[in-house]
Amino acid sequence: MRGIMESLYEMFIFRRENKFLNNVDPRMKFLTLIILMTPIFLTMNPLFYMAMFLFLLFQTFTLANSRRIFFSLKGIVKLLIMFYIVIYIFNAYPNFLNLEAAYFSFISIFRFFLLVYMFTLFFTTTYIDDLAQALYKLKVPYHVAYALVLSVRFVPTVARDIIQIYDAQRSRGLELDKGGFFERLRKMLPILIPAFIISILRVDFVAEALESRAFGSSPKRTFMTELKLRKHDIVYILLSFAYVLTTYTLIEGEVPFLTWM
Amino acid sequence: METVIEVRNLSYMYPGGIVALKNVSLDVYLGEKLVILGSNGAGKSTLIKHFNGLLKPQRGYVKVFGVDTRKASVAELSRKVGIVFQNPYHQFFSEKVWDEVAFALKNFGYSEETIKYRVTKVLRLFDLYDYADKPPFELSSGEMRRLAIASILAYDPDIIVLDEPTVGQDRIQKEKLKEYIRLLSLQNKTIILVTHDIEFVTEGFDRIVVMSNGMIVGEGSPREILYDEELLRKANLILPQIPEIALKMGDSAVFKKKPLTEDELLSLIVDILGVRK
Ligand SMILES: Nc1ncnc2c1ncn2[C@@H]1O[C@H](COP(=O)(O)OP(=O)(O)O)[C@@H](O)[C@H]1O
Ligand SMILES: [Mg+2]
Repeated sequence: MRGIMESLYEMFIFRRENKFLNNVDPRMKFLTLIILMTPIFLTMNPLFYMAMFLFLLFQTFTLANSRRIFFSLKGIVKLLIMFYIVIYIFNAYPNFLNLEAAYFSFISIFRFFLLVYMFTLFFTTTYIDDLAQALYKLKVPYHVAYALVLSVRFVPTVARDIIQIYDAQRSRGLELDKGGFFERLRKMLPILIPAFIISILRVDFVAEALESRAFGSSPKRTFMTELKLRKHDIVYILLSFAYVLTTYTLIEGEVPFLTWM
Repeated sequence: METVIEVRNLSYMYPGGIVALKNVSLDVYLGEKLVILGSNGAGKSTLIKHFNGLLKPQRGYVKVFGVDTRKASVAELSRKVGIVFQNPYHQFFSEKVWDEVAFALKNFGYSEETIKYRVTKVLRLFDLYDYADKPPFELSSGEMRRLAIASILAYDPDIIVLDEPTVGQDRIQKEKLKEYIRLLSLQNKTIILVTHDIEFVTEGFDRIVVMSNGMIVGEGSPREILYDEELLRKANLILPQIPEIALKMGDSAVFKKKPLTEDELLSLIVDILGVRK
């Protein structure tokens, strides 16, 4: 619980870092995310998944703050292991010594893991305000884009709240890891209720703060730093595209994206 | 003096890479009223979360009544060390004030009868009995703070840790708080007050430990610490008003007496002026 919240915190907190990925234009990064994501839904070939995994690892080590990204993933991996067990039970029922189910469940989780990894890479390296600006430039109304900013911006805040609440309730003798399944669910209430209440109260504060600074009084707006496409943005997306294209074609024996047309 | 909490060479780094504690060693003695003083981000909350095992030492060790916190569960340690956290909103979830206080007692498995007795007693002590059926969120901020303390005191821990209890409280609430601390102390409780509110600790405490940047940078009696301008400056704190006025008087008698309260200052002034014999 604490671990998962700490991972979420690391994933969504904003820190300026001078790494390559942090400086890629968010529009290109988002396009790249889609290019990387699509073929994962086209195949269930573990070889291809492995190729994608290696590509993500490569980016993590050379283009980003790898320490932070691995920490963000750590909590998620724990969660995935739990998911795996659940999925396995569903797939294997009623025969619980089932290699096929084990394999199939593994692939499903692997696919999910890759998606999470991609989003982690995206969010740990993207300043969410830049993403809002990108959306605005794509003619999305700013108040809609800003709703996205707010939802992401408050993930670390809520994660910190939950850590605090968790600590406070454990200090009052709450033992989450004792009792049966339903007992444990019930024990989540002392953690979830304060978290909801604090979040609802916070919505009010944020609304007041926005209004007092005339948010939305004009549909047009300017930005302190304007997004500009640069050469390295294009290089990044092209190289990513080339990698996906080549590995997919080699492994699957057909060209992705083309088959759709 | 019997040591109740023993902290040795404790270091702790948060996942983001922030080193919140660096080689901290500290003894807390039975029955004392200890202050852990430090500016925001000094590492105070991180330190006290080690006292009931919420955080486990990454380096060094913490022993509570001789038991290594790594070898005991949070629930076991919490029965001895009650921590009241800074923000009451981080713990209230019940529909009624009564249930909020009963929560820990239920978790620790007390009988219905004991629970009824203890909740009544602690609500009376904190002037909250009339609100027993009210939702905690409808209380004023001073009442909320008291309820948070009451919900811990209900199960009668030997050591009580108060994390920033004065935040957002007006002067009257603070005076009341001090009164409660004095009451607890009379019952031989060990009290650890964690704060950056230097004015609050001028009176009624036995010892002050100063933290800065994850380290303990000073330790001594309130009279020593609150007159140590250099130490306080290093810890990003400023002198409380009375020592500041006293030091500005520049009289040698100031250093002999080191007044901390209004009355002490007044009698010093009277002495110096020689108005009364
Ligand atoms: N859950 C956390 N994750 C990462 N960093 C944290 C966390 N909690 C506290 N910190 C950091 O550790 C340092 C010490 O914090 P804390 O112990 O809360 O200080 P204090 O209570 O003295 O204000 C601060 O720099 C704070 O930002
Ligand atoms: Mg604190």
